[in-house]
Amino acid sequence: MSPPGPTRAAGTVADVEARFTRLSECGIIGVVVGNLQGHVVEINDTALNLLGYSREELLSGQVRWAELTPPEWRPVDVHALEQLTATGVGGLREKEYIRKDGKRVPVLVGSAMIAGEIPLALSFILDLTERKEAEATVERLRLERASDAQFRALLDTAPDAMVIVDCNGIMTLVNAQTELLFGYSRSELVGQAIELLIPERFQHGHPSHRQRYFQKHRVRPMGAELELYARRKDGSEFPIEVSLSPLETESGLLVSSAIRDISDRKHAEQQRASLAALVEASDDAIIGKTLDGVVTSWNDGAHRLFGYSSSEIIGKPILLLVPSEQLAEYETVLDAVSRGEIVRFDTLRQRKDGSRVDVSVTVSPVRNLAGVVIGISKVARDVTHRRRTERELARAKEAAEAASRELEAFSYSVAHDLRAPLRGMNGFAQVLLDEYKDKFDADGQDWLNEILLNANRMGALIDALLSLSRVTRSEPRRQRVDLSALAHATVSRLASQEPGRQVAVVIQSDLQADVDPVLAGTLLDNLLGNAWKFTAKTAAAQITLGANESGDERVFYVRDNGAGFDMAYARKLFAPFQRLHQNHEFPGTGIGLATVQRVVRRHGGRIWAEGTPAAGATFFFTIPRESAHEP
Amino acid sequence: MTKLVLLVEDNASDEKLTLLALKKCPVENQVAVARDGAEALDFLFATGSHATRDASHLPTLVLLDLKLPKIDGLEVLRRIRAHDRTRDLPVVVLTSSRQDEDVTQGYAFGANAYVRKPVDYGEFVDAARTLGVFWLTINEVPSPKLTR
Repeated sequence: MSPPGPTRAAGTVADVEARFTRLSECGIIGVVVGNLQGHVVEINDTALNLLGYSREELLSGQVRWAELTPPEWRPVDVHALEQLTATGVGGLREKEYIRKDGKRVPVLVGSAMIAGEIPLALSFILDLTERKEAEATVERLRLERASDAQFRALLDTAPDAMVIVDCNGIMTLVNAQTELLFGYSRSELVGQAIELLIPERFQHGHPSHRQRYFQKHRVRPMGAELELYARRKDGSEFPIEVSLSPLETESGLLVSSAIRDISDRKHAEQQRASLAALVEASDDAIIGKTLDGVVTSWNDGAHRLFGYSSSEIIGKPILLLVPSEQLAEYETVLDAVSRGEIVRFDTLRQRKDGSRVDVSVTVSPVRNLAGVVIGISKVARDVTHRRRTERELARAKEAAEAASRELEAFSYSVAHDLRAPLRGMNGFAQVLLDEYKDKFDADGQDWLNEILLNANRMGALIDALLSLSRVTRSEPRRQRVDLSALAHATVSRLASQEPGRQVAVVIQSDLQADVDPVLAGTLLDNLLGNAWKFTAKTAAAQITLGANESGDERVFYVRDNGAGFDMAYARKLFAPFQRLHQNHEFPGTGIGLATVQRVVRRHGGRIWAEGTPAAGATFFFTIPRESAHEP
Repeated sequence: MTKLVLLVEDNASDEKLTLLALKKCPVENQVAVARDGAEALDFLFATGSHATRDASHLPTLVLLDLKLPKIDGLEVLRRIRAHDRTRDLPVVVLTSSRQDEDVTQGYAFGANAYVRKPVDYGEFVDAARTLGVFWLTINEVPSPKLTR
């Protein structure tokens, strides 16, 4: 191969050398001169810096020039050498060299032949590192911008509030959920310290926690061993769960935190906890089972009632509790509950020790969220005690009814049998007086009259006693009664029995009470009858029936201005057979007020009296509404 | 015309007093006394100790005590009402009991009136007189023969 002719650009060799030296010394361009065998003849400092080798290493041939080019770039060199030998000029080419330290350096290379005795090739090498880096930066920025937008979009679709915080605790990025959750807009948050979102009482300690995390950062997942709280813009607090993850970025370490509002979960947890506590604390047995009757849960109450511990019975069939004679009933109930019904019934169950227990059971279906029956819950209550009480109550009631029947029979015989001899005594004494009057002197007639009088008194006593027992006998049948009307009737009857009496009677109108009408009649007959009787010797007799409202209670009263009584004896008034007056003054049986007191008490009311001797008496009584009634 | 009254009464004193009271009644009357429920029915239906009696000769009025030996007053009343011949016989229930039950049962079995024997003999005489006048004179009873 013959060397090419002199280069068109070159003048004299000296000129070339001088220019080359200047160019070489300006330090911008690396210059290498080599022969066509690839030996470096001359190299400037710029090129040496670029490649990292010493001049010695390159000029001595210790380092072969061709090997500085990575294998993938060698075809470019081959092509350039062909051009160079053919035309004297090698094309400009971008390529890389391998530096002594092994790093690659991007370069732009142009070559030309230097004609001479020995043809040499002159190459100019321009370091492209900075340009390449700039290009890479531009590209990266372009990519980053694109990924940043994607990243934001991704953040906004995240279900949790996402906040990115820098090493100073300043929020640099927040997502849409953060705005929603905390009530701040993005612009109010970005640039602010993360402590803005923390309740005041925790704000003080937070920066140090934060710094510790930045020093020893690692991914901390949600799953809170800690109870964390966040604060909204309006100041309200809510429980949260936070997960932190470090983000290494160009601008340093950032921390991304995902914040989840767990109010609902906390609430549900609390509810579940309190329900679980209720179940555990319940005296009732509360049992969960599958539709196949396999026990799935078992509380303390169930343990106490049936004797099995939860570990003994969970996973076992509930049939362990069902006595064989109750199996058919059990199947029926199971069918109904599987259909979604709630079944309540009383039955017998079998304890671990084989004994039977009376239980009241409620069995209900357990549904999943879709409403499908997936299990059965059963609440069983020990009603042994109740059963026994019921039986005792029934026996007591029977005994009471028997006693009442006996009393009735007794009353009947009192009425019938005691009155008959009285009729005889009275009747024959009367016959003697009527038919044989002339056979008796004044004393004899007087004594006969005494027999009559006493027999009559005893008759009245028997009647009063029977009336008293009738009050006790049956439950009052309450209805709305117009006491005023009833009182008018009583007073008319009294007046007709003693037409000569002049009594001023005042009856307040429309006095209503919920009272047994028959007993109300007995009550007013006695009270008004007493007032009538005890005013017999009063000049301007007055009787008043009225009512006062006292608190939320209505107090009825019957007042007269008759004989009255000494308050010292007020308590004796209502005892049977107690009389405060001699019979010759005011006749009576001593049963009337006892009867009145019983009527009032049968209605749950109270009765009391005030009196002054020779100035009159007032009897007060209350008839509470039925709800307040005590039997 | 003398009216026949059947008094059904087991208490001797009450019997005497009732007889005395009926004597004071302005209507002339003859009183037959039965001392228990069985005898009362024998008298009315001419059976047992009264088998020789003319069964068609019924009393104008029966005064019937409720509490009686053997067959009680209410049963006597029920049988009187159950029998065609005696169905319309006026029966006044005469007793010392004021028990509501007696009143209701008495009327349910078809007593024509219910009179309580008072302790006071004077009242009793008045009651007997009123009874006698009403049932022996004013009240018109369809003749049993006509109802056949």
